[in-house]
Amino acid sequence: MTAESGNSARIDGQAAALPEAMGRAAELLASSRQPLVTGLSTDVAGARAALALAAVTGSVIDHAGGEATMCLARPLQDGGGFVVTPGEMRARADSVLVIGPSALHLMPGMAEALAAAPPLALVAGPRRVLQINAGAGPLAGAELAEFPGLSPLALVSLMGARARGHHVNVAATTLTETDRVVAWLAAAHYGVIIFNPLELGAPGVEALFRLATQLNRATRFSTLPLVLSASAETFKTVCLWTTGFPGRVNFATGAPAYDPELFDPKRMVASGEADLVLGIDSFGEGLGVPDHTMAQILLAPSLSGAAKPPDVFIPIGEPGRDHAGVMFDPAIGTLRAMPALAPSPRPSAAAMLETLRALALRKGGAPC
Amino acid sequence: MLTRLQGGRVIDPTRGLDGRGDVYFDDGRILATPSRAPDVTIDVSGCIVMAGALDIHSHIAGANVSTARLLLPEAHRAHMTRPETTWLGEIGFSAAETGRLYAEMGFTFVVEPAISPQQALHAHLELADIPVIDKGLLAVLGNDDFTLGLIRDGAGRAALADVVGATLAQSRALGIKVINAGAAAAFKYNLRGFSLDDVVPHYGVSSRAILEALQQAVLDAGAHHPLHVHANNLGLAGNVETAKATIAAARGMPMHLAHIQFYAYGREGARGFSSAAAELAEVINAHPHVSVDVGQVMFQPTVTISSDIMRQFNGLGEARPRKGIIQEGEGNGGGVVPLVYARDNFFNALQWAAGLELFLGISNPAQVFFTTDHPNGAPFTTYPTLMALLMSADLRDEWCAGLPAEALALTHLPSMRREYSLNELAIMTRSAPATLFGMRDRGHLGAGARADVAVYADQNDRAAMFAKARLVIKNGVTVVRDGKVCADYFGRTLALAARADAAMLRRLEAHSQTVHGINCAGFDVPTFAMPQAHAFEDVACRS
Repeated sequence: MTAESGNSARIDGQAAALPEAMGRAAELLASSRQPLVTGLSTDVAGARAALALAAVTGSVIDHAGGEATMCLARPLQDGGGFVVTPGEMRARADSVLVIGPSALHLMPGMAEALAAAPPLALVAGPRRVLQINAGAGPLAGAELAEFPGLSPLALVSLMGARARGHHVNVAATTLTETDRVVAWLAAAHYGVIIFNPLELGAPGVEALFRLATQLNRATRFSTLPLVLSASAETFKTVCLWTTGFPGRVNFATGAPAYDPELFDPKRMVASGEADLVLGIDSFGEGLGVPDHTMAQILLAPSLSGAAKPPDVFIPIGEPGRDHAGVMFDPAIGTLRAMPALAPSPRPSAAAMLETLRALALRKGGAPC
Repeated sequence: MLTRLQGGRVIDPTRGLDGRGDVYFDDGRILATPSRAPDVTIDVSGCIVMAGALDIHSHIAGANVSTARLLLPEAHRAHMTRPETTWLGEIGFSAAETGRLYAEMGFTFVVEPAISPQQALHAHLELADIPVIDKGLLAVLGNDDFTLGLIRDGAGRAALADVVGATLAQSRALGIKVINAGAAAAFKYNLRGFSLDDVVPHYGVSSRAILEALQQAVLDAGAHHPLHVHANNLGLAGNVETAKATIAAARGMPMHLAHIQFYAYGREGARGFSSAAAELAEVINAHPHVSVDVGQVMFQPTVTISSDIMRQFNGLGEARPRKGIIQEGEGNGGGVVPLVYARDNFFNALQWAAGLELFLGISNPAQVFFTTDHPNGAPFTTYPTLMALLMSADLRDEWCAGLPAEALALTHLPSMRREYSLNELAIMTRSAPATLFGMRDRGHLGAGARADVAVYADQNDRAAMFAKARLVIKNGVTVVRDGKVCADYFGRTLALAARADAAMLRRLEAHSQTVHGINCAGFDVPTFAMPQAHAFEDVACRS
């Protein structure tokens, strides 16, 4: 790779040799009072290395898609819940409720899977599928139910209230439709509710888990949250075993501290509490932070996706293409190893981050 | 570099040694007394010298452990800065802390006992990030459609052995565990209770049939460790009958029963809940082919992590704080439910006493293994206190004085005066677990053994002594000095070199595609995926 290829390291927009760019990045990290490590569309190795770098630089760290992660994690932390893997849902669920328009479009192959009969259902037969508020995304062959004007939170709460047998004060048509859906749910032998955590929001997800708890009193139910970003789920998984937390961690005191509000990257940037953004973006998912004028280091396969030219650009490869890696695979609901499909000399994010960590340690960059 | 640990009290039950002596090692291996002078001599006079300890059942990694971390941020938040005030703070609850804390107690090998084959890669990546100690895992079968289908269809012994072999190989596991055989599948068909002779709907297969088939298959596949069994009816009053029936179901063949304390309950007393530990210990004494680990309860808040999803679902009402996660998957799935074991709680006091009754009532220390079923009975950081309790009847009396008399009256603990010797403790935590897993170079300090050594300053306060080893050597490297990890060292994950039958792998792949819509090659654990080039160490099968 040459400096002219457009994919060389850069300092202030100018092509630079990699060691100089790494040195400049280490200087920026050393002089930062509160670095923020984000983006994080990378593999397990990249996430490990980013966490290790964050630990020695006293950084706040979270994935660009952390909001969706928190929409699921916080209701689980507040009240618990029920979840099932996609493979088991396909095998056993005789009844699937899909909430909202986006759920199936975001999950490749799921619409086809739902159209097939569940091979392990208690009673052989086709799978029942009901979609609520399908909007512009109705699923072929599904029953539909519409609740115009109701927020997802209100809708799920209403369903939960009726499932628990509570009286509610809503329009007669809404009540009739709600009771129809609740009766449909109660008729399931093994039911699964597919939902988009971002569409429901954390309170809506919490209400959904309460609904699942109620349904499980008499029959079997679980839920399948959409994975909006495989790399976000990868980061969450690694962050849990590395720090004990699902993301939104600050290493400023030396120990990982978790605060889903305080350590939201968007807030850290908007408020100016961070003064340096270190972004890792192997898959072009973006950094997820508002426009800013603070210093920025970017590790990405190319510069093309960057909104603001970073102070330092470090080119990296893409996991599963340029180099082998491990990523969360939403289709199987866990981590999967990926060989390199087109091996190239482009370095991995992990290798570059490990080098940066070594440089940071040499500069005495450990937190005070 | 030839090193001598000089002048300690060497306790090595494998060689029948308990006395003052020297231990030599070089290049990661223990040596017989060498002909040349050592390069380094470390004075360990006044210390106890043992092989590194082995823990055969501790939930330290994998998807379910991560779910527990996710559920309870308040339990380990800021665990390093406010360790006294944070609920699970003392265990850290991260991979790095797990390795550090185990090593500082002199442990050098730990088995994660419950990994779904589908999630083996995740577990192995997590294990690889646990520093210092060596690790291994057990893969879980017996609630998955493929295995149940084979048993239903009468596929025969060879086919079951091939499934076990393929699972061991693909998951890079050391052994196989069955967890409430058939119950997780039955729960998906809305059964809420499941005993040994209950039948899984859709399959028409009983729990007993699953148990027997897998027990034989594990032996046939050449695993050293016999089938690791989490029996039915965990935690329920009167379940000693389940434990006894399960031991009988072993039919004289090797079987390991996990966290047996949770099955040592009778129905006596005003509350219909009593300790049947003495009775169970006698049964175990009469069945030497069966081994058990205890799953001791200690008094503190903890979190239960279990693939017995039916039990975890049924236990949600007891959750403290009131929350839990039930995660279903292709086989067992997992449930995470936080609990508080309280000293003043009748049931918890009885559980605590029942565990100790088992330790004290089972005669052969090579038949009973030292566990708290971390973190289900208590976090592993309670081990030193538990060791002290086993070694002192007076200490047990002190504890008993603070417990509900009503509970103790339903146990035999107050009258049991047995005290474990250091030698018996070394059998239970060193030589016996190595034998149970067929590891000839661990658990002892004889020539050729791996240089995994724990040195403790001999103190009357046994809890303090076992909490912080004076010195720990791992593969010949000094990793702990004065109770603190002092080296950036990573052990390996031991995996059985099991034979994966190509035809069986094809059948598993076809099944996974047809039933779950999944390419099961995605569950492979290739070496290239690991953070260290030498993350694994192969263990040869039983010949």
